[in-house]
Amino acid sequence: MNSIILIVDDDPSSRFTLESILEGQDYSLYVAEDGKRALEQAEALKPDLILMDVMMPGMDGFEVCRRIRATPALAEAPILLLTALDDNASRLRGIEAGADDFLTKPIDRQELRARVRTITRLNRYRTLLEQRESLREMAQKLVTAQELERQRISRELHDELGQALTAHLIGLRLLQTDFSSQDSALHERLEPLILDTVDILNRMRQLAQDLRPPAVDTLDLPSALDSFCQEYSRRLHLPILFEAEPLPSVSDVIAITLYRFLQEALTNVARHAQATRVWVDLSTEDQSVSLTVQDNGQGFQENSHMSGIGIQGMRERLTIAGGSLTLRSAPGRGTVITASLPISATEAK
Amino acid sequence: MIKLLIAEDHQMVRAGLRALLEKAGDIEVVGEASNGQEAVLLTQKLAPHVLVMDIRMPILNGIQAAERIRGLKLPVNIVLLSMFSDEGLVHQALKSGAKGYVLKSAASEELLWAVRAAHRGETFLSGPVSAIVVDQALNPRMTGTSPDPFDNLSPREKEILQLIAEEHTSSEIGSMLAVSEKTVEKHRAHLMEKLGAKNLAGLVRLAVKYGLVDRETP
Repeated sequence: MNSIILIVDDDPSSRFTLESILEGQDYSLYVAEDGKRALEQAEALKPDLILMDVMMPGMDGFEVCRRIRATPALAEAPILLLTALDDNASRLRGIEAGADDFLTKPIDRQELRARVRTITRLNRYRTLLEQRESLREMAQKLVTAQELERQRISRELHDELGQALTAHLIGLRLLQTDFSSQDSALHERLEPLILDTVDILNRMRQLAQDLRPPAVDTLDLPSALDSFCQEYSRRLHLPILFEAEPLPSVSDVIAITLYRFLQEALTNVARHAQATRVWVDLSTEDQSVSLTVQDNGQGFQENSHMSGIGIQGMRERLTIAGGSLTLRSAPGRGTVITASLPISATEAK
Repeated sequence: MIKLLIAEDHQMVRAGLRALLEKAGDIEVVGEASNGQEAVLLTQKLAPHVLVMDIRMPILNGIQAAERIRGLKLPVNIVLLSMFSDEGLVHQALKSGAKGYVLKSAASEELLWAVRAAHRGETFLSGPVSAIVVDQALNPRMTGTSPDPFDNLSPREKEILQLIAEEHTSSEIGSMLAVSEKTVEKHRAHLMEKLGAKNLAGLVRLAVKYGLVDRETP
């Protein structure tokens, strides 16, 4: 996409000169003949550069500059002011008004082209960075919203449906006890109903548990991680040494992100590492919390099959949460994978 | 008669539990609490023999309430109720001093057995829960350390040991491994402890012994 340049000058011949200098260089050029139109055009176009004469009747270039800076959508738009030669007073006023750069009249063609190119490129890059950052923020919001939704559904399943079903089950069992002495046929007929209810309750519990590990909600983070390590260690007959530093209480997002990271990292160890020992460390430092999983397994050539073991997905999830992932491995030397999350970025609940 | 207190935040379940327990004949429900904090207060006030308590409750959850009750040394035996048979929960529940752990899907005869067992000071666990506990006992967490201390070093510790022996400073090692200097220092302390080295020279000597660096390396 071409960079948009807005030329503001009251003098038709200098507008023409500026246009002709910049023509044919992949810019989309627009012109405004006074300050008022310049503001309207700028708001509509969101230009990558505003090239503006200082001396204009009515609203002068300084005033336009100030107003542009006061408009939130345009506050970052680069402004290049055209001033008379060696007019230091104008430059000072221009800086105060928020101009980014100055060019003296009469205009040197080469210099104008070079300056415009530099500014528009920088502006493109800055816009790109901004867009990337806002994308990351959006992704984070989305993931947080998804996590909250999972939690909400899991709670609803457990606290409402599960409890109602439990009460229902107790009622059925009481009913069955009542019938047992009087009517053994009815007692018998209630049995499959009760077993079905238990089955529904179990399936619902499994669903709630998959959506949200109950340990994260009931235990503090170190205990929840430790109990997961224990369970895994026994299931795989693999020693997992868990160590945790005293931890300030962390937000729910951090807790669940680290819990899921541990699940994935240990699954990777089980599938690929052929390790005989695993170390899991939870530590904090300068407003960040890190979880490191190390194994003494076969390791791998970094970059060789990192995508194959879901590292990319893990990295993405951590990046979205504002954190980072580091990985070190070498054939025969095990693997060290660390997830770090800022404690301050996601405010503690 | 067994004097019993019910702690359960869900009103319908509480009513169901009361009906079930009272029907047994040998149990008298002396009170109902709807959260963990209330459970602690009512246990102090009513001095029940047995407390049947849900794990997932507002204000204080069942495990926290059980810990607090144990801290207060109240003479009550606790049976915890839960929807889940999660390992971590079971472990914490038993550590909190609870005598019983009953799954909600088994809240009937099993709960009565659990209450009577708890009253006698015995332990009762629901089938799936006892399976976990037995499994934990038979396959204890593997912490087995190797007789050779070198095998007990983590990959990162080995890496750091090698870099120390190659005469890199902590801050150099930190930037090589993308960790802070403080973390490197921590690892170094761990290394000395694990390997029984008294100082850096000791660590370097061991690194040479384990073949991490050549004797000739400057």
